Amino acid sequence: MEGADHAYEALLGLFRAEFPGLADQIQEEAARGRTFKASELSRADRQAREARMSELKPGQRIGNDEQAVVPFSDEQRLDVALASLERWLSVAVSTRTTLAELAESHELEPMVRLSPPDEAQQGSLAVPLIITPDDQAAIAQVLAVTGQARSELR
Amino acid sequence: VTGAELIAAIELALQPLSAAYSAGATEADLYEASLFAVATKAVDAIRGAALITQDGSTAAPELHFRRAPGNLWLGDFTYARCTWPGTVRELEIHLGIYVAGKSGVAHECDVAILDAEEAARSRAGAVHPRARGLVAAMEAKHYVASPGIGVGRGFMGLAAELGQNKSSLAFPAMGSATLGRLLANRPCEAFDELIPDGAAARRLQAHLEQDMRNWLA
Repeated sequence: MEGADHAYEALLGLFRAEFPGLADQIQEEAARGRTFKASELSRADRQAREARMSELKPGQRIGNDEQAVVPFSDEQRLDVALASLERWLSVAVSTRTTLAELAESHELEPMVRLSPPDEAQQGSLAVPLIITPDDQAAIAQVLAVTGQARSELR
Repeated sequence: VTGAELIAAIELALQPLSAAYSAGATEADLYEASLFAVATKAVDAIRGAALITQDGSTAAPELHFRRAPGNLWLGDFTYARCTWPGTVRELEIHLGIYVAGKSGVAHECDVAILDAEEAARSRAGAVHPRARGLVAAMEAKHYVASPGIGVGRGFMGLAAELGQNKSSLAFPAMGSATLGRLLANRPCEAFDELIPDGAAARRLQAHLEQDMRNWLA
């Protein structure tokens, strides 16, 4: 995708403003790269790595069970960010639905009140569990956009 | 689609989402609370009755949870009092309380399924419930991107304190191979890709049902 590197940075900036914590999680995963067993490396990649190691000490090999890391490409980093946004929205819907069912089965209002653990502290927050039609439409729109972009990235 | 067009489309699509969705801490709190709901489903599934309460005897007027870990005996927070026909044994399910680990140090326990006698002792003495009174403990991590190895290390430390075979870790993201390797072949359980109405949540529920059955036996 043209401009995938800039899109990734812009998306992180957007998340930092809208969804605190999400950007940090994505950055952490993107920085780690993909980790897998050395036996799953392509032959060419493995030979190139072993050649570099042999420059330090001749004859060095990578064991099949060793952990190898491959950095994400710009497209893959963007895919990580888009997939994380999709999952974030799915979890937001799922938690509210699950708690709304709990509330309904016990004849309670579809709302959760969150408060500091110390009674002396202020800062109670009421979170409605009903997902409004406007929010449903917005979530569906975001998922449509991310779904299309991810299919183009593959 | 170019990257710039993609960002513009996402920004536009996210705009209408109400402010309730943009508070990260709240989403983590709701994720923990949804695991509380999974635990009550486990009680129902093995023919128990879960009273959602704030005082242990009457139905709660609302779902009221802690935003940060606290003492079991403080506040009018919601918990579940669980009973079964034919036995006097009872369990309580609490969210976000401190539990004293094997070392005696108090640890934050996101979801604690406790023997009701241990919970009563805690309330009476204003002392933290002890790990020996735990039937199951869940550590919830609201990670939608794959969590790093630090999460696994932290969980292993917590499980060592609260009881390896009683402890479960749950998070929504797919677990990395590294994390899977770290937690493999241990008595504690990790449930990755756990979305509260998904397949992993049903596996967690079945796991909790077995923990409760074993405790009741």
